[in-house]
Amino acid sequence: MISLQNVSKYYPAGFGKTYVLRNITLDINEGEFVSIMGPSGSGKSTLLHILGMLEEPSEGEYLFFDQPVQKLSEKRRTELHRNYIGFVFQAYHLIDELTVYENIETPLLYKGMSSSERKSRVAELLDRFNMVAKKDLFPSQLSGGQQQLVGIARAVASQPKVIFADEPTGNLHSDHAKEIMDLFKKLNKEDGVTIVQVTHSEVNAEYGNRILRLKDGWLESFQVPSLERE
Amino acid sequence: MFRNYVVIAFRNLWKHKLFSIINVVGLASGIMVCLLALIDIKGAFDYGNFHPNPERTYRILTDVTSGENQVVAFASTPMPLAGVLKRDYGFVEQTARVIRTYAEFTVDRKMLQESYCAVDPAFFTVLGYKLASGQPATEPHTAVLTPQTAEKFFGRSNPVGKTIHHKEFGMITVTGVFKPLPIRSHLRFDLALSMATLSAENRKQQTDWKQYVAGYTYVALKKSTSVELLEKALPAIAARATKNLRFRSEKGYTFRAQPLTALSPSHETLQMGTWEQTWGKLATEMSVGLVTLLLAVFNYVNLTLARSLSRAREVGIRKVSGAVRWQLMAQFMAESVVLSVLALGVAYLLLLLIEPMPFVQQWLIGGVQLNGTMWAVFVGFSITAGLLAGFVPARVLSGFRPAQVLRSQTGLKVFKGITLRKSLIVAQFSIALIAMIALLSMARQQNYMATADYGFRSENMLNIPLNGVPYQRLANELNRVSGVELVSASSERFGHHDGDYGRIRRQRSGGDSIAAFMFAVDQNFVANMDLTLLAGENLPEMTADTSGDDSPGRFILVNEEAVKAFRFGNPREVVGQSLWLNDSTEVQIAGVLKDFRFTTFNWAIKPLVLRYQPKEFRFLNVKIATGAEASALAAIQRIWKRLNPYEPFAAQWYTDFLYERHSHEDDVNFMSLLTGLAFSIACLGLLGMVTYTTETRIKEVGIRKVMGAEVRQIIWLLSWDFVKLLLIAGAIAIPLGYLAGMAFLINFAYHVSIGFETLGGCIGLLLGLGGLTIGVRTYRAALSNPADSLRSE
Repeated sequence: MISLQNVSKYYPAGFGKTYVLRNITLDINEGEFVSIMGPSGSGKSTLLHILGMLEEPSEGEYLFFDQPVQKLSEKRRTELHRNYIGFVFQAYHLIDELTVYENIETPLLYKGMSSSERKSRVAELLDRFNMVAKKDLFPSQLSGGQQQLVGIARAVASQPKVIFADEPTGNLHSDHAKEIMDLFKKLNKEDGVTIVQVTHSEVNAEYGNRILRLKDGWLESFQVPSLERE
Repeated sequence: MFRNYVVIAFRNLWKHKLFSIINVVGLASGIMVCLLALIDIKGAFDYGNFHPNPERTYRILTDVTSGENQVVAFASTPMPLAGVLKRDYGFVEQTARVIRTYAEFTVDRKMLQESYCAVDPAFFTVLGYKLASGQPATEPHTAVLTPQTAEKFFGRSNPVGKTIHHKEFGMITVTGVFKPLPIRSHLRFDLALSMATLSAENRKQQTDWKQYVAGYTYVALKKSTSVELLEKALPAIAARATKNLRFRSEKGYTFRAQPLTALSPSHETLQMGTWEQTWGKLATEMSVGLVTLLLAVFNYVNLTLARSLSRAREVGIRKVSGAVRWQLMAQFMAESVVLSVLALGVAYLLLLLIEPMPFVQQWLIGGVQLNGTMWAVFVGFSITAGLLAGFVPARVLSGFRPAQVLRSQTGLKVFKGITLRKSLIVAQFSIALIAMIALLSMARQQNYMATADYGFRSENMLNIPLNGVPYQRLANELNRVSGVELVSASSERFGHHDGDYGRIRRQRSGGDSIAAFMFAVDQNFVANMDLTLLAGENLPEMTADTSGDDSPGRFILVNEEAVKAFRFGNPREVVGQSLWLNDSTEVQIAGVLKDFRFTTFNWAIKPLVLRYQPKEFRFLNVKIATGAEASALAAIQRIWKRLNPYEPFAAQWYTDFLYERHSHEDDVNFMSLLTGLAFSIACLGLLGMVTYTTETRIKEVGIRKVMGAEVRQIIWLLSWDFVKLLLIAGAIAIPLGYLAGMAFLINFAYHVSIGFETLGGCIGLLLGLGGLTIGVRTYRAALSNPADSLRSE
């Protein structure tokens, strides 16, 4: 499903260039739950952004469902965002001016769904995430954990194939964090959504079936914990 | 989706109230000025509407070729043209001629100067001036009055059948009263006389093809006649008419037809023009409106960009949710459109507020009815303004890249369009400042003309319009009032444009001639006005027994300028010289007066002739002792009541007259309003900018305070960038404002200078208000507790 071949990312700095990612080669299959770990500044977020098509690699090739991403048009990429990809952020990134309901509805609007379809889809998500009572509240009226629940509901609203989560529990207490991670696990198991998360926490990383470790832009190891465990 | 846009727009506006208020108020001010212009433009198209068949009624214009081969268009035509058209051309249904002039009319002893139109009978059917009562004036010695004139002459009683008197035409019977004339009408008059009333001399003019300025000709064509027939006929008539004519300098003329519907707004300036609107005036109004609106749009652009930090995240989220750029642009532009439609509502309220201002009524919106179409235009205009205002910020905001703005909460630095924002602030303040300097120059000039020393006495002088009261009789009575020091008589008041203007010659026929103002005065006038005799003597005294004789005197007084114009040399040599006022009137110079300013300051001092002509006296000038003003005025009023019980007492102090004549408070008030709007829009914008910029620097302030910065230093740190912009605006506006002011002042022979007080005052106000705006915000920021701004991460 996702395949990176010798991907590098650098920024011009002075006369030379600063590498953020070096020579990453990586395959992620449908249904996987991958955790990306590494110290600050190791390029985790950049890798996630490249995978999420928010940034373009400086070198190398990226195949998404066998399509070369760097050759896709802006329009086609937006199509992929609408139908295949969901994002969850550390800072939740909900739109402050919209209610819980409207936040979840946003991707469906851009997908061009009819209003009755949207209604039933949002209602279903609210029900599933136990937020029916909070649907008319604004993000500022929710706790961090609740906000992240909305963030996840929004990410899965358009039924994506893959969710990219950038330290989804970074701002949460451990209780809340556990809840959120269980939810990801459930989505992965029950709905078959591929999940790629960036995390600092070994505990959270263990939720995945594979851990990628980045250091100074290099992919350090290639563990397949699921194999070890079995 | 659309509903979603509007909901978000409203929530955003509600959440950021300062931003919304600044923009709504600013845009409302701009839109209000544009509404005034739009209403006036609508009104300009109303001019032809009330006439019965505007689509087949035409006014004939005359294109005169001057001696220098320049074609000058006149709105008037020779008077015989109408007859020819009516007689020889079958497609003409009716013709109506109108001669515009003014004269004094008397009812009982009440004499009023009125403008009138002498009209053909067809005037009442071809043009749409409807009668409220009575019959059209078609017979000789008949007239129809406007309701205002009827009330002035006859009060509440029915004027139909009553008579008014004209010294040349004799008694004139009132046959009817007009309905109130439409304000949006190209003809304005107080009464309409039948053409047949005019005297023989006037009628001679009616057969003269040379007199192309004599009057106006209107032609109504028969139904379903093509105007081409008329257009073909007119040059032929002109060719025939001018064949045997000898003009003084012109080479000839030709005619063309102007549809009543195209009368206003007019594309060309017509000589002998009527009251129609010109495109030039309308375009000026609209540009003033658009500039004001532009200032407000600058605010919108500026503040939206300043707030881009808070919107950037939203853009990122929406993009990763699958939004494409145009959808985001649509969302942001929906916001600006909501704002501008709100502003339209506020603008309408502002419009209702300023509607009663005399300037607004007289020059802009008087007589225009708002209808559905107008409202549609208003709404369309506001939406367009909103779209345009929203475009630049929408483009910038929708361009954010999600990867940049979503990366993390900290370290996000989105400063787009800093240069643009700074230039917009500079532009706003420059425009406001230029307008202010120009306005202040104008106001100071008017105040100068209203209060300056003209060189004649205006303090404690009371001017009483005679209105038909015999001057000697009133003067005799006034001389007995205690407090009255001296009474003189004159034909006109000094200090405005009026006064007879004529040519004076040194020989009976031909020879040197100069143009001079003529005033009729009596012998007390020179002393009363405190004029200085340089040579010779005052006008000879008219003794009591000669006072009954109202033949003009043989002696005149002239001013130095007249002496110079005749190249007489020394004033002393002039005394005793004789001059010819016309072929039969020879007068002798009795004395020479020191130059003083007797017209408005538009003109340099011109040659002046004062002569005793009691028939021309229209004012008594009464000098009243200091301290006795109130009692003397009351006594004079009693005398007036006794001598002339039906006429209101219309005396006016000379200083008041000069002040009213020259101060133009209405105009200055309206223009101050505009300048005030421009300035407050700029200040509001600055307030918004300082607020948002300071917010983004609050952490820096905290760090600096922790490191020991004083409040004073922080205020300076935050303010300097903005103060710099104000100084740049000042540097741009001073020379341009000076030029704008001079462009106005150059029209006056005597004018104020644009010096330190004008420029310094304006700059001071700019820095004062601007500094206050900046200071309030930065002071608050500087006082903030660093613990608060540095705690959160």
